[in-house]
Amino acid sequence: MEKYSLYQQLADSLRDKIYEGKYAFGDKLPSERSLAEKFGISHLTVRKALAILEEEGMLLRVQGKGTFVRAQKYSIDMQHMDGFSSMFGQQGITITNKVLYSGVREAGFKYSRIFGIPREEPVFELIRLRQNGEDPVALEYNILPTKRVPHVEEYDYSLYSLWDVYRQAGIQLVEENQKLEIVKVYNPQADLLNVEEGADVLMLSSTALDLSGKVIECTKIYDNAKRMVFYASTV
Amino acid sequence: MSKYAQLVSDKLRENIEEYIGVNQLQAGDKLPSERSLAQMFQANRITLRRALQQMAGEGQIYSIPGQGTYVACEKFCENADGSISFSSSWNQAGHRVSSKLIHFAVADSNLKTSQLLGVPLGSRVYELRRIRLIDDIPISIETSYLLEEMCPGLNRFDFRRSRGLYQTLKEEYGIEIVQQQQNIRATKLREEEADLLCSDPGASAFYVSAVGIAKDGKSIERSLSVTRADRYAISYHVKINPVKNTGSIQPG
Repeated sequence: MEKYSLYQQLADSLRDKIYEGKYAFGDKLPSERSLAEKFGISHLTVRKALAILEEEGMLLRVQGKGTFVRAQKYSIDMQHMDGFSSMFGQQGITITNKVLYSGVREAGFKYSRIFGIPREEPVFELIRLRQNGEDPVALEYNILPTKRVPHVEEYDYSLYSLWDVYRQAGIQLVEENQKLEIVKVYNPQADLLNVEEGADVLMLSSTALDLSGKVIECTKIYDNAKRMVFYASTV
Repeated sequence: MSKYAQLVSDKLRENIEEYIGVNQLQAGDKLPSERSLAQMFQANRITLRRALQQMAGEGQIYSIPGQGTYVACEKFCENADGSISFSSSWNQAGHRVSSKLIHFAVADSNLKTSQLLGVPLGSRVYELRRIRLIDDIPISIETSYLLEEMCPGLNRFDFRRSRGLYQTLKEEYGIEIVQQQQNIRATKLREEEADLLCSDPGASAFYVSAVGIAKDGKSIERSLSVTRADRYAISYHVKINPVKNTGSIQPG
């Protein structure tokens, strides 16, 4: 493990304060001088920390005016089940989808187990980059058995969502099993998400079931961990 | 097909996962050398290395330089909706859970705690900080804030070992927390947190801010926890009412 440097610690602590809402969108941060005094560290260290957050897009530094919070945070509601785009739409964010890959293949060992189908059976594989403008929000992998979701391979997923296809096919997803982990990503994933190689990202893996209890979709979503908050309500 | 086809495909990774599955490799078991894996799956060394790196990044395997690559032990997977009490959910899963008390005092509530609990700023709150251990491995540091007025004398109870907070609230004060609203994000362990969790400063961790809500809808407890991400995953089971779902979905 690398040494956890002072400027990293300060950057992390300021990021926490932004997430907690202590510094909200548009707020001005204390001056470099007062931050340095408060934490008993050098100006240079403060400047390095602010530079990290500026690069992440969380802060905006205006010459002669100060440093302001400009974080565009993204949030995912774990209880929400009608698709990524619609969820972000409710937050006023328009998601565009770049299809990186789509194709049909054999289920193979892993997916034959997940879906309970023979390993030779075809599955549709879809890889999309979810973007807000030029900003990569998430990298998403989906696998679906084509026998359960007819014509799934025929759609253009930069225009349609899987939910459109489900509606068309009369499929109702009623249950989802999700697992949230923090993992490290490397290229090409890191590059696509615009994070450094080895950076932490949140990985949400899930399977979705229809009314009859059959697994319809197996999904893996990588999110930029510095920008994403998950909400959940447990009973 | 697009130029990303080769780049993002998980095919080789699936092959390695299959090898682990079929050969029933357990945590700590060694994988074949890079050379033999490359031969086995007819992949070049660079592609193979990338697949192994990805698997290591996701905590499936780990490497010891000069020795080889091994199967990692599975993360503890919290079933967040099985039960909202830390102890009972893990006990049900056959794990041994315990707590270590590190701080228990009465303090004035800060702004955020006051807002979340709906009380005036500076209200007297109990501040209870514990380390949570699963199978004796320190996993999480959890700080709970509770209004003193609501559970007077809470500090007479001994939370040093395995006494559960939710259970105590229920049995001694008739307060039953039935729901928890959580806000989860990623953070890195600070030095003092890493010390308490026997981990490294800067290691990845979950940061969960939660509010515990009673049957009558009242916010009872605010809690903040920092949990080691190398050993922990959070799982959720979501069920939706099919009737409610009909027609409520918007395109795109």
